[in-house]
Amino acid sequence: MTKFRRLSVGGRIDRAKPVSARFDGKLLTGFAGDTLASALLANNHVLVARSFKYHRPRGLMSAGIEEANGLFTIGVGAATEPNVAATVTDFVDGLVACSQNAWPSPAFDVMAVNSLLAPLFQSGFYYKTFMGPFKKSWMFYEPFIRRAAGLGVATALADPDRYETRYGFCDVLVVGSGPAGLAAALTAGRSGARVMLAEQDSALGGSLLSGSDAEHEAWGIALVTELEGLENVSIRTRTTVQGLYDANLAVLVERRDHLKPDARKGQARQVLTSLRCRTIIMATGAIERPLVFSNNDRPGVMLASGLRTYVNRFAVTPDKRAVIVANNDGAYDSAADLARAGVAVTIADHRANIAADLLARAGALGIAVFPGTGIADVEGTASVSRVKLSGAHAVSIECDVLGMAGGWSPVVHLSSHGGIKPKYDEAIAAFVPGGFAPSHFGAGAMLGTFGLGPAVAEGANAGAKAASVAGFGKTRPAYPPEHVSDRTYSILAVWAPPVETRGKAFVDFQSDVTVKDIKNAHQEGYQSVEHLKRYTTLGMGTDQGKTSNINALALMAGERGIAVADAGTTTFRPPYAPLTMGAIAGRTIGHHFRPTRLSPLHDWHARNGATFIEAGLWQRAWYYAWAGATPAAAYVKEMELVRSNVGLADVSTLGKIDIQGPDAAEFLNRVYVNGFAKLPIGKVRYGVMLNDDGLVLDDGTTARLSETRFYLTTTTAQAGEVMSWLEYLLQCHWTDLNVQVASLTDEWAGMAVSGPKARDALQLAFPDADVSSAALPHMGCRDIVFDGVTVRLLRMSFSGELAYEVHVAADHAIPLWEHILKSAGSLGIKPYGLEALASLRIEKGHVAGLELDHRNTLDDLGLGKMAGKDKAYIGKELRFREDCQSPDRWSLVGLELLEPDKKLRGGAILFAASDEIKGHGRGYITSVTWSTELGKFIALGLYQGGLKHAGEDIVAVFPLKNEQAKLKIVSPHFIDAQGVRLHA
Amino acid sequence: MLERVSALAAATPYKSSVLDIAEARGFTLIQVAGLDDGFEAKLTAVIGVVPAKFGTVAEHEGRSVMRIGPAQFWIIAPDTDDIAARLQGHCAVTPL
Repeated sequence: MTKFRRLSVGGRIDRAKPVSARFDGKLLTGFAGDTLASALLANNHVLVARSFKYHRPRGLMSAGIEEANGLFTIGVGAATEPNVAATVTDFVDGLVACSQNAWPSPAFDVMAVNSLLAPLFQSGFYYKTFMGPFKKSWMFYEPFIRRAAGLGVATALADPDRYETRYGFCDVLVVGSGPAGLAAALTAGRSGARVMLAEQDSALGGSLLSGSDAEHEAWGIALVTELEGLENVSIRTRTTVQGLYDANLAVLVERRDHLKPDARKGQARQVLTSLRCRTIIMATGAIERPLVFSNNDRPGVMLASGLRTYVNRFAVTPDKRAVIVANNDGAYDSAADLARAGVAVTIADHRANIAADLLARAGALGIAVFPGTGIADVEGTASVSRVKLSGAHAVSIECDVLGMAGGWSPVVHLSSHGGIKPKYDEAIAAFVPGGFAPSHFGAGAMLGTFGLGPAVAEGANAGAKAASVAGFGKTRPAYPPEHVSDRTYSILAVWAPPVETRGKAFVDFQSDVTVKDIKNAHQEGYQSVEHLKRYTTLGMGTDQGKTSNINALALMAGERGIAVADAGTTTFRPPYAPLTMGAIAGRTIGHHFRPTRLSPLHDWHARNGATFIEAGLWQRAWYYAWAGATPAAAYVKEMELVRSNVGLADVSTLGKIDIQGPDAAEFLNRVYVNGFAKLPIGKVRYGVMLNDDGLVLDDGTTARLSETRFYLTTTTAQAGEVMSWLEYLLQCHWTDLNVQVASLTDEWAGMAVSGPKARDALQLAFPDADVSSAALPHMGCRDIVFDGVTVRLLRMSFSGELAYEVHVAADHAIPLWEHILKSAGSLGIKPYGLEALASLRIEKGHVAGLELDHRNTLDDLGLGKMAGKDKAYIGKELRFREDCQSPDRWSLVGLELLEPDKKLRGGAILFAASDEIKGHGRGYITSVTWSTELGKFIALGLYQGGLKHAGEDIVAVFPLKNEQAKLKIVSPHFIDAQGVRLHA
Repeated sequence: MLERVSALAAATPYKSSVLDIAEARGFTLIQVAGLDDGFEAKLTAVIGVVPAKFGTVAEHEGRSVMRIGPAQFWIIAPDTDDIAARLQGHCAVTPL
């Protein structure tokens, strides 16, 4: 029966600092330096979990990040975090941990009945069984199935902790602080390069922490001491490099739970760092893998390397007897350290021929070695009691624990994140990196180099190369310890169970995938590794198959009769290890989720009865109380004001860009589809710009202020994108053009004066300025100085009425706005909001953000004739590609509601009258309004074939509300198609 | 004179034992950008000093000059400074 105990001496724990915590409500004691896992074992908690699907009893299987069984819920209340591996959880005072997926406890779990029904629960069972007999059967069954299986449960409460996001730069990032990583970091560090050493463990040293060689440990301490003394080296423990991305971007997540951070004091629980690195050295080590045999998941069956770590690092040992089943030399190190701790050890080695030095070393420590022997079965349910051996020594042995030493799998994840597939290395029966990007290097066990001396040499070499690539010169390499073994690693690949028994042989412990599941997948045709993964859920747990993938694909290769190398691997993607949503979100939560942008006139709107609406990041005045208490009532009244009299609207959110330089006209001429080279000074022109794919990017107006200066406006939605686009063109494509651009969106305010009495209002506001049609014609502009301040007047219209835009520096916006309202008060001028603004433009047939969806061509929007035929502009070539010229493209149409008792809704799907109402239809409604001029609902929309269907009756369908309405396709210009009003 | 109202006029200054946040008034911000190769020399001649590296600030005669992009600088100067007028004609000047 499995039993563990704490040794009275040894280990890398601080016995002077006792720690107490709670596990499933009971006291758990340990020492500083323990993990939750080591403390559990030291307190002899063997059966600590239940498996995902079958609810089989499970114990800890490893001592590292690969842990598949020992997942717990940490914390209480809102700070609860499920599925945390005990092996990477610092054991700190006050820690509260609970087992999961078991009721009432892991020792007695009601759902263990699942194990009896196991024959039903093989891969594919749910999907085959619960799809019927009715159409929605799966929806009925699913909640019950999900409740019966699974891991921990996330809290629905808001996370009270604080998470930070940082950005950093370094010359050399070293991932992993084992012997190779330490040598790499020190060698690079000695060159003067800025080195970041990231270690996911709480301590530096990697495999040195699990070993027992005092000389090696002292060597490691000496390297760490020197590294800590180098000002150019930054060391991060408890920091996992979760992914590598383009341009050498590494994403690191640092855990700080051990510091008990207080969010109220601004202390972060986790810190996510986006690190730009000149070079990256991967010294990520290797993970031991289990062997596959009957009942290999019983509590007390562990990785041999895990047993070694518990003995040497945490001074926790199996009580009396251990059996280690092996196929490689590494097992003998684990066996030796257990024997030194007083455990009686037997090695069952699959290999018939074992190196003499290994046998001699084992014999000297009293270790019995059975060559040519494997494991047939494990006896015991709650823990291991005996193991049955097979092969040359087919005997039954009583034991406390069974160690599995199935070989080592290099951690190739990071090297694969860039898309480089790993390759199979027959010599070590494992996958190694298939290559590296030019500024990436590997060293040590991750390359399949398992000896200490060669690993250190590789690390030093990688450190020197990386420093050189990063631009640093001479360095002094780190050397290995004086005494290192020169023996080479030897392994016999063993994938399948040596004998077939009735017991389950697990391949993926976390997802409960067995050998039988893999055989079933093969029989059902799911034979590629990608299909195998999806059919069985192999490798889909929080451990992402770190211990299971290679065994599974080798077993599948065996079923298919192909070599392991030909079976391939699944794709390794970030993150390498589980990370919290909090770390990803950082501080971008709540009010910090995104910035709020306020118009310079916002405070006035707020004081004067405006109701606001979000428009992108902006808070915009939606409608005003003077016009009504509801938006539906208010916007109609505001529209009527503009159509009959004069209104004032805040248009400050429009993008505004100052363009200067001798080549400014040429620049705009290339950016816009229509001509700007000869735009006269004092004139404004409407323009449309395309993306380089030939589709419409944005529209807006541009005023020419002088020979070399223009004032460009964009839509509110595309302001940032257009500014970036112009800068990109100038900095990357047209470096020969002498032009500079500056954003004025926030620095200038804009207000629209619209309506038949707009000129009168302007004249009252600026009595000294000549705003007559002769002095300021339609599409004219001029700067005036009013009360000592420059005011820009642009005569143009979004509403279709006689209209002007008045632009001024933001600091003067509210005084000028108030001045206009006051001076033109006798005319009845009042403010109007965004809803009326948008409705007026629908009546006029002007396109806006809802129509400009980055999928339209000029012709789709009826603007094709604007484009210059004899000039070049961005997007010209691709605009004429076949697909963009199709007559059946979704194009702009006007729509009139034919059934007055019904409603039109934006987003409604459009069908021809004869169509079956099914699928995506022939288009959709983009914008809807009540037309005060026509007395009916009208809309703009995109419809297949556009205006060639003018006059046809069609159907609008809004499935969310089960509504249908009949419409007629008409011209999008509902009012004043000749433009008489705006030229008044 | 049309009244000038700061965008932060309604904001409440923040004050604690470790941090004070309040608006510094009486300054103006302009962007200047080069339109020819001799731009930086001309700029230096007018304002005395410009920062050599992107993301750095040079301070001289009450002005702070930041290099914000290729041949682009921001200058923070007292309201009374006539630097914008003096730079006109030498480069692209945009009051912000």
